[in-house]
Amino acid sequence: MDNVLEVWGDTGEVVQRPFTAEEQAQREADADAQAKAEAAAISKAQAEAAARDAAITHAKSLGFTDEMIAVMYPNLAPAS
Amino acid sequence: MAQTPGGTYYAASSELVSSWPATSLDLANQLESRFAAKAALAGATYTGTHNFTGATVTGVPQGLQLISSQSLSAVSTVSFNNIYSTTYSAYRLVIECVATTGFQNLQMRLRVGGADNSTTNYATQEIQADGSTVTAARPATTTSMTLGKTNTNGFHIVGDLIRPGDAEPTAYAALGVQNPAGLPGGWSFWGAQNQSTAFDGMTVFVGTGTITGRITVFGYREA
Repeated sequence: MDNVLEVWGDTGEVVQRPFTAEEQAQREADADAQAKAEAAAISKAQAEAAARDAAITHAKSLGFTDEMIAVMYPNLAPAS
Repeated sequence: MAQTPGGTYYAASSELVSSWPATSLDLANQLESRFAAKAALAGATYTGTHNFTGATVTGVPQGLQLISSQSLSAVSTVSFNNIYSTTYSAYRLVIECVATTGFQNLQMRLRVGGADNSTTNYATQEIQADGSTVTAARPATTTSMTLGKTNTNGFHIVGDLIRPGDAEPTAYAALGVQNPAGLPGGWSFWGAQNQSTAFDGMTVFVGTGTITGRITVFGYREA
């Protein structure tokens, strides 16, 4: 498919063409990097959620209620 | 009658006034009127409609100068060549698009000589707001920088690039809105390409699907 649009600002020339082999390879590299970044973000979010839940569980084991935890640690909302 | 060195007879001013007083007065009045009209052009205020189609207008002072405006139809990558130079220090980028795949990054690479710069010298600082949820991130040492987020109901970005055409690091700052017909979400993206490279173009792209709409580039004309 001709998914690439190339524009020359000085002459006004416009060409629509398919990806070159080099551009296609770069797109695949971009996709891999994006997938890794998303996986890392998900992993980080899951770790943070687990830490929040553990902190809440520990606070409750010490006798604190949800209301008390919310007042003392307003950023410590349950993950779900 | 007086006579030119070449032998042509003409009426001297004294003869003109004495022999044709009304004509000489009319001539003087016309000259006076035309000199006054010419002097009035400096600092004049113009009203009404002026058609500059096909005209080359020079000497225009400060303001936005259109560099390129390109409509897009179902493309995933658009490369602009020869739009940045040392003529302007700053450029405005206006993106009005709709995407086939929403909530993905709209990325940009700078380029020179028709080739993208894909080095890991890009970084982006971003803040996104969706309802009451605000998120922030700063991906660094990436091979492109993020302009905004796509949306299948439309997304609009207005941003400035600072010194892309100079052999200096390039900075970018943008505001964006998505889904303008419904509940809008917004973001700010700040990007940088930290090499001291003079770029002459850019490539804007999405990883999945295509975008349709228009991208316009202006230069900030300072003088």
